[in-house]
Amino acid sequence: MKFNSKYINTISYKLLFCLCCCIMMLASCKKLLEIPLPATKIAAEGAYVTDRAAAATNNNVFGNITNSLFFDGAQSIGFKVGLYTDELKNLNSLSTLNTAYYSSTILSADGGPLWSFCYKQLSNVNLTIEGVRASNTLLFKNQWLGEALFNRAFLHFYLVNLYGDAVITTTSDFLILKDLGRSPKADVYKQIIADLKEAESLLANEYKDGTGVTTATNRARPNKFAAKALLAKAYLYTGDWVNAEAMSTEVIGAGAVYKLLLPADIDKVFLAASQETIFALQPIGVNFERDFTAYTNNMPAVLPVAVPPAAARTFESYVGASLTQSLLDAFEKNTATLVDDRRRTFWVRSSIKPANGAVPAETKYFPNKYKSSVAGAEYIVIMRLAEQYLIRAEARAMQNNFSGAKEDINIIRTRAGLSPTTAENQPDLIKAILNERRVEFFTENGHRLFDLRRTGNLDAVMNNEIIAKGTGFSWNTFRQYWPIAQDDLLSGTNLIQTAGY
Amino acid sequence: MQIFTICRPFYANGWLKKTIIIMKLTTLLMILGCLHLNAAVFSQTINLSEKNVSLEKVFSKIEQQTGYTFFYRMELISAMPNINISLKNVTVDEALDQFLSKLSLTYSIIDKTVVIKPIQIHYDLRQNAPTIYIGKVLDENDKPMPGVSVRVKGTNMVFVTNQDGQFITGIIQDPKAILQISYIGYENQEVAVSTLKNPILFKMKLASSDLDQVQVTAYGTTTKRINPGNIVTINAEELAKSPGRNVLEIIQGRVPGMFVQQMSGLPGSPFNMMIRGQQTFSGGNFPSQPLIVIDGVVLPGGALPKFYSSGGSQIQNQNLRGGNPLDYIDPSIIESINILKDADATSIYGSRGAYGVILIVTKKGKAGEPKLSVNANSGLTVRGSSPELLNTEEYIMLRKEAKVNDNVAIAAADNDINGNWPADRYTDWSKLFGGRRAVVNKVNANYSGGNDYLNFLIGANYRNQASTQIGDGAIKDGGIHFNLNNMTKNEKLAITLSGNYSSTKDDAIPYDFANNSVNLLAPNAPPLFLPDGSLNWADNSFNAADGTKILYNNVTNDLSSTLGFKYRPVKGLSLNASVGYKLLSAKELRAQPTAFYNPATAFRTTSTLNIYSVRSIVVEPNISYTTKLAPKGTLNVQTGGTYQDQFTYYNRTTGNDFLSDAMLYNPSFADPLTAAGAVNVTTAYDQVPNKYIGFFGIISYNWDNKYILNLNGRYDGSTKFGEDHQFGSFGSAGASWVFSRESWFKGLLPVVSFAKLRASYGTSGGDGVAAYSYIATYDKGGNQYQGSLALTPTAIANKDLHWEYNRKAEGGLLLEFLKGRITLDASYYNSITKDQLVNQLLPSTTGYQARPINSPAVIKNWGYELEVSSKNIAAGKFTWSSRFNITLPENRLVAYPGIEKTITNNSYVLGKPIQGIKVYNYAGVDPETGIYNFINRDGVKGSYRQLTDPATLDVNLDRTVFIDLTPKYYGGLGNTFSYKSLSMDVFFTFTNRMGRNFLGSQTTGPGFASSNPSKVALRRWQSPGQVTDVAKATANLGGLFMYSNFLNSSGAYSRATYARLSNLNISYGIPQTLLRKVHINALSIYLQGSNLLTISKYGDLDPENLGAGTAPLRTFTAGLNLTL
Repeated sequence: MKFNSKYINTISYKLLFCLCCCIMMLASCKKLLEIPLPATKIAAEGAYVTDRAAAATNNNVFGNITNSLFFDGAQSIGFKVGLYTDELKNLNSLSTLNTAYYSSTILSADGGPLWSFCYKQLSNVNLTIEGVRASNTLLFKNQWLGEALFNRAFLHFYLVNLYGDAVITTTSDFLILKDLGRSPKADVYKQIIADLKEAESLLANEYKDGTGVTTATNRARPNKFAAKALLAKAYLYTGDWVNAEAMSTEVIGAGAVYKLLLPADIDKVFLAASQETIFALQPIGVNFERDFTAYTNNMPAVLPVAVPPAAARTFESYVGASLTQSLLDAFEKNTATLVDDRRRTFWVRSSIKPANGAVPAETKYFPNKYKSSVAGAEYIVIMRLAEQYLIRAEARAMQNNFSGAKEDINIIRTRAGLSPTTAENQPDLIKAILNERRVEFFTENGHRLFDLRRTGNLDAVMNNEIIAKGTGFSWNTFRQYWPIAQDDLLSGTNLIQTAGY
Repeated sequence: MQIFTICRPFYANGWLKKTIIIMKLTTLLMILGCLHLNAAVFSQTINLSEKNVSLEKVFSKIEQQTGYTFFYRMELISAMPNINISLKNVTVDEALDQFLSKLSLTYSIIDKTVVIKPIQIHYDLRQNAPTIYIGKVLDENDKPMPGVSVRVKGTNMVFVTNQDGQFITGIIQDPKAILQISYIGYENQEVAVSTLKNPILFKMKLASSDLDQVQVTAYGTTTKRINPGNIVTINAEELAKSPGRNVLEIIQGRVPGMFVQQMSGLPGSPFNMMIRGQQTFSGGNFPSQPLIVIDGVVLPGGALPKFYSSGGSQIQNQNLRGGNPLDYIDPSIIESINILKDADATSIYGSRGAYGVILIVTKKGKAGEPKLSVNANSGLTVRGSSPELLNTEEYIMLRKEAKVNDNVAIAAADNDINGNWPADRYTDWSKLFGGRRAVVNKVNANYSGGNDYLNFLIGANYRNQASTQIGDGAIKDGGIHFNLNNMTKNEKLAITLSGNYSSTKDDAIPYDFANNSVNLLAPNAPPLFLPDGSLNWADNSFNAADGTKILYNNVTNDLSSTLGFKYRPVKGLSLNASVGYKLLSAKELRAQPTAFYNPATAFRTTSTLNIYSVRSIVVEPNISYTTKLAPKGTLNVQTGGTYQDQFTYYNRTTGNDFLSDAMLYNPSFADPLTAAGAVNVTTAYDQVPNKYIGFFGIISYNWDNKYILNLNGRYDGSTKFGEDHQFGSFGSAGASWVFSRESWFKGLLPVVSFAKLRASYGTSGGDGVAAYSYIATYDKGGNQYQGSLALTPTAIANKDLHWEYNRKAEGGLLLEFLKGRITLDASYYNSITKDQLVNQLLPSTTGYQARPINSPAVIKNWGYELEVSSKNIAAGKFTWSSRFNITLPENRLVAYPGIEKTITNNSYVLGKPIQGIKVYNYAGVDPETGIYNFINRDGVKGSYRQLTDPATLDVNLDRTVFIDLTPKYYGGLGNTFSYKSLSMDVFFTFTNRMGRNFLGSQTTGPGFASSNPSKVALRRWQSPGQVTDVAKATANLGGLFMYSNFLNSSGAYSRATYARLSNLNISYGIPQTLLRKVHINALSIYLQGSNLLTISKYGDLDPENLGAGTAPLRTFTAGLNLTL
C-alpha cells in the first residue's frame, strides 16, 4: 500500500489548524464552566463574610438546641434522666419511651436520636469554626469563634456523659468523619478542655447579642465566664480539683455580674433576668419553657372530682411524671426553725386528688422551677452560679480544704434557708455536696445521673431505686451509659455499640 | 409519435445542420435551439402572480404583456392541472422555464410565437453529442416517485424528479457520464448514459435490507452496513403505526437492549427506561437514565420541577411524579429515533452518554414538488387490566368470617357489616374512579417541498387526550414546526434551520386514583358524591374522593430550534456548527377550593401557582476533513467541541385562606397574614444552573467498505464537580470487518449475502448528582435565635466528587442471507460501572444521614441481544415480513469493598443483581392455623408475628431469600402483512421478570375493613387441613403483623411474565387510479390499537407497571392519511 505524501501533508496541515482551534477553546473553557452560586442557598464561604451571617450559623445551633426539647419539657434530658434515676415517677405508662427510661430498659432506638442530634449540631459547629477561622472580614470574629468552640465543648460534654466513649469530631469533612470510631472518655475531655480554653481566651467578659453588640440583660450567648464555668465543670468531672477550684473561683469572683439571689427571691432563679444565670437558652418565638407543660400544665392544686358523665382528669392527663418519694425525702428542714428548705417550698408544687368514694385522696408533687406560660418570661437555664459554688466546694473538699468546702456549701444552704452543714470530713462533705446537688439541680439538665456516676454511687442508688419503681426489671452497671442508634452501626465503619447493649 | 431531436448549442460546435434530421419539425427545432439559447435577444419582462390558474389563462396573460402568441393543442393544455405562478421581471423563456418543465411540457419560440408541446425526446445523435435526458422514476409499486435526486456523477449537476416522478437533466456533454439515482431508503442506482435511451424509466428498489437504513450518529450519519457501533433506528413509518402518545411507549419492545416500563397509564406519567441494564445504584427514582438529544438539543434530564402536594387523602406515589420531557414531543414530528448503545456510538457523547443515548431527528424538508400530507385520527382509550373486586355479598361474608376467626363481636364502628350500611348497596369504586372511556383525537399536517438547494417543511399537530379517571380534565397539546434547508449552488455553504413550538394544557386531576386506597373501599360504603356532584360528607368524616375537587391547570410551552451551518471551503474539508436552543416553560396551578373540604370543618382553601422553566443552549462547532488515503481508503478526521448551558428554575407562590374560590387563581390574593399573625402567602424560588463543556476528536478510516476503524476521544468538563475534578477524559475504539467482501468469502457461502463482524471498547462517564454537591451550602431558615435569623448547613462539601467511570465492550455479528431476505444481528455487551455517584448512608456522627460520594462498588452488566428480520413472502402482491428481537440481560454487583460494614441498602448482595430485594422465606399458609408461615434463618418454620408470637423475624438476618427483579428477558415480535395496498402490522412485546403480586401490594388482606382484596380472597383458608395460598380472613392486630411479614417475604412476589399485543395497525391505501380523478396523491385509511391483549399468569394487576398505578391504557383509533 502506497501512501501519497501529498495527502499526508494536507492532513497534517488541517490537523494543525484543528489543534489550534482546540487549544483556543480549551483556554477559555474554565471560564465557560463557571456557574452562579445557588440561589436558595449560599456557599459555605459566603456565610463567613459578614458578622450577621457568621452569627446566624451559631444561631442555627443555639436555635436547634433550644427548640429540640434537649433541655426543656417532657422529652428533655432532665426529664429522661429524672425517670431513669431516682427523681421522677412515671405517670404516663402509655408512653413506651417514658416507660423504657423509667424501667432502665432503653434500646438503641430510644438513646439514638439524642446522639444523632448532638453530632448533627457538631457538624454545623465545625463548619462554623472552620469558616470563621478562615475569614478575615469579621469584626467580631473572636465572639463567633468562641461561641462555636463553646458549643463544640458543650455538645461533646453531653455526649461523653450520656454515651461514655464518644466520637470526637473536629472537622466538617464527612469523608473523615464517616470512618471515625469512639474515643476513650479521657480523650473526649481533653478535647472539651482544649476547646473551652480557647473559647475562654476569645470570648469577652460581657454578653453579646447576635450582632456582636454588648447586651446587659440577655445571657443567651456564652461569654468568657460561661466558658470558665463549663471548664470548671469539665475539670471537676475529670478530677482535676485544682483547676476546677481555680475556674469556679474566677466565675464566682466575677464581681457584680453573678449574684446568688436572696432566700426570699429563690423562686426567681429561672426568670429571664436572673443574676444567677451564667448561660441560658432563650426560648424561640412564641414558645415558653416547656417544663411548664411537662410538670405544671395548669394543673389545679386540687383536682376537681368529676361529675358524671364527664370523665375525671387525672394527674396523668395533665403531666407525665411526679417527684419520687426519695427525692422529696432528700429535702432537709432548717434544724433551728424547722422550716422547710425554700427550694422544697418554691421549686416543688403539689396537687391533690380528693377522695372519691372508696378511692382515697392522693397528693402528688411536681417540679415547679419553671412556672410561666408566658413567652420569654423564663429562659432555659443551662449553667448557674449555684453550681459553681458546689463545684468549688467539691474541689476544695477533695483537696482537703474542708473549711473552704463548708463555706461554699453553706452559702447555698443559707440561700435555701437551711442551717449550715454538719459534715466535717471528706466523705461526709462529699455526701453533703451530692445531696445538695440533688435538691438544687433536680430534673435539671441530667445532673443527677452524671453526679451519681462520677461519685461512684450509681449502682448502689439504682439497685435500690429499681426495686422502689417496681417495674420488674433490674439495674445493670452497663446501663450507666446509653446505646447509640443502630443505623450508625450499619453505616459507620468503625462505630461500635455502647458496651452491654 | 413525435420525436424531437436536441441540438448542440452552436457555441459548442458552431454547426447545427448536420444534427438535424428527418421529421417535420426539424428545421423549426434548429432555429428553436438557437433562439432558446439566445433568448435574451427577444426578452421582454413579464410580471405575473396568480394562484391556482389554468395554463390557458397564464398563456393569455403572457400574451397580453408581451405580444407573443401561444400555439398549443387544446386537449394537451386543458388536461394540465392548475398552477401557482409568481413572476417578476423575467423574460418569456425564463417564465416558461419556471413552470413548463414541471408539467412535462416544453416550448419553442419562433419570432413572437411560442409553441407548446409535450416533452418527448429521443436520443438519436452522434456518440459525442451533448444530450438532455428525460425520464421517470417509479417506486417498487410502480408509482411515480417525486423528490428523487438524479446526479451526474462527479459533478454538481443534480436534478430532482417532480410530482409525477419525471425529470429532465441539463445538457450533458460527456458521453461517458454516469447518472446516480438515489433516494433515502432505496438502493442507489448508477447507470452510464451511453446505455440509455430517452425517455428513461428507472425503477427504484427498496433498500434490500435494513443495512442501508440511515442511522444518525452524534456528528453525522452512517448505515448499519459499515457502522462499527451499535445503533438501533426506528423511523417515522414505524412510529406512525402506533397510536401511542409518548414515543417511548411506541418503541417499547422494539429496541433490543432497551427496557421501557410505563409507570402508569395516565398520560404524562414517567417511564422507567434503561439501556443495557441498571448500571448505577441510585440517583433518583430512575437510575442510569439515557441522554436524550432532539435535533442536537439535549432534553432536560430527570423530573421537571412540577409542584406536588399531598393535600387531602391523596399522596402522590413517588414513581408517578415528574412526568417525562418526551411527553411534549408529538411522535408525529419525529423522522427517526436512534438508540446508541455501545462505546463506539456513545463515547462521543463522553460523560453524558454513559447510560446510552437516544437521538431524535425531527422531520426535514425534502426536495420535490410541494406536498401537503394530513394525518388525522380519533379514538378511545380505556383503562388496562384492573383487579376484579369482590361484590358486597362476598365482602360482607369475608368480614364476618374474620370476626368469627378473631373471636370478636361485630363492633359499633363496623359500619360495613353491622347494618349501618345496607348489605345490598354496591359500588365498583375502581371503575367509578378510573373506568371512564376517554376520547383521543390527533391530527397533524406537513407541507414540504423545494429542490436540492432550498427545501422546506412546515408542520402542525394537535392532540387531545381526555383522562380515563373521574373528572373532566384532559391533556391538549398543539404545535407547529418547520425546517428549512438551504445550500448555495456551488454546494459550499449549507444552512439549516428547524423549529418546533408546542403548547400543552393539562387540566386532568393530578392524582392516580388507582394508586389509592379509594379503590378498595367497602363495596357498600356510602356514596362519596351527592347527586349534585358535591362530596358527600354525611357518612364520611374523610372523603377519599376529595382529590376530584382539586383545581389543576398546567400550561407548558416548549420551544426548540436548531440552526445548522456547514461550510466546505475546499474539497474534503467541512466546517460545521450547530446552535440549539430549547425553552420549556410552564405555569402550573394547583388549588383546593371550598368544594374540596368538609363544610362542617374549619378549613382554609389553598392554592399554589408554580412557574417553572428549563432553558438549554447547545453550541457544537466542529471541523471535519475527509480525504482519500491510499487508493481504496477514506480517512475522516473530525474535531470539535460542545458547550451546553442548562438553566432550570421555579417560582412558587402559595396562598391560603381565600375569601372566595374565584381568587384561587392568584395565590397572592390571599390575605398576607391570618388574624393570628401566621403567614398566609409564601413564595419559593430555586434555580439550578448546569454547564457542560467537551472537546472531541474522531478519526475514522474506511478501507473499501471492508475494514472500518473508528477512534474517538473526548475531554469533558461539568459544573457538577469541584474545580479539581471538573474534567474527565473518555475514549473508544470501534472496528468493523465486512468479511463478505473478502474474495475468499464469496464462493464459500453463497447463501450469505453480507457478513460483518464488529467490536468496540471504550469508556464514558457520568455526572448524575445534584448541582452543587461538591460545595458546602447554607440555607436560610431553621430556628431563629434571639430573634435573629439562622443559617442552616444544607450540604457538606465533598471536593472529591468526580466522574463516574463506565467501561463498555461489545462484539457483534451481522449476517444477511439470501440477498436480504433474512437479516440476523447478534450482539454481546459487557459493561462495568465504577465510582458511581451514589447517596451513601452515613453514620450520624457526620451530621448527615447520606451524602453523594463516589461509591467503591463495581457493577457489571452484560447480555446478549438478537435481532432477526425476514421477508417471509415477497412474491406477487402478497408480502409478509417479520422482525423479532430479544434481550437477555444480566446484572451483578461484582465488588463492594466494605459491604459487610457499610450497608447502604439491605438488598445489595455481592454476586447478585442490584435490582433485587432480600426478603423473608415464605412458607405458605399453615393448613392447620390458616396463617402465613415463614422460615427463619435457622430453618425453623413459624408465623413470627410481632407481639402475637413469641419469636419474631429479624429485619436483617432473617431475610434469607433474594428476589431478582432484573428482567430475565424481554423483546418484541412484529409481523407485517400486505396485500396490494392493504397492510396489517401486528406487534407483540414480551417480558419476563419478578414483581409484587396483588396480595403482596396490599397492606391488609381479606377481612379487614375497607379492604376489598379482589376475587383472590375467595381462596382464603377456611378450615383446618385446607391447603391454599391465601391466609384466613382476619382483622385483628395479629393479622396486621402477619401481613407486614408477608409483604416482606418471597410470597409477595410472583413471576410477571407476559406477552402483550402492544400494537395492531391495519391500513388500506386507496388505489391511485381513483385518487387521480380528485387530484389526491395518496390516501390511506387505518385502524390502530395499542395494548389490546395481555397474556400472562400474573393475575389481577398489569404485569408491566406492576400495580404502581393506573395500568397502561388500551387505545383504539381510526384515522386517515392524506397527501395532496
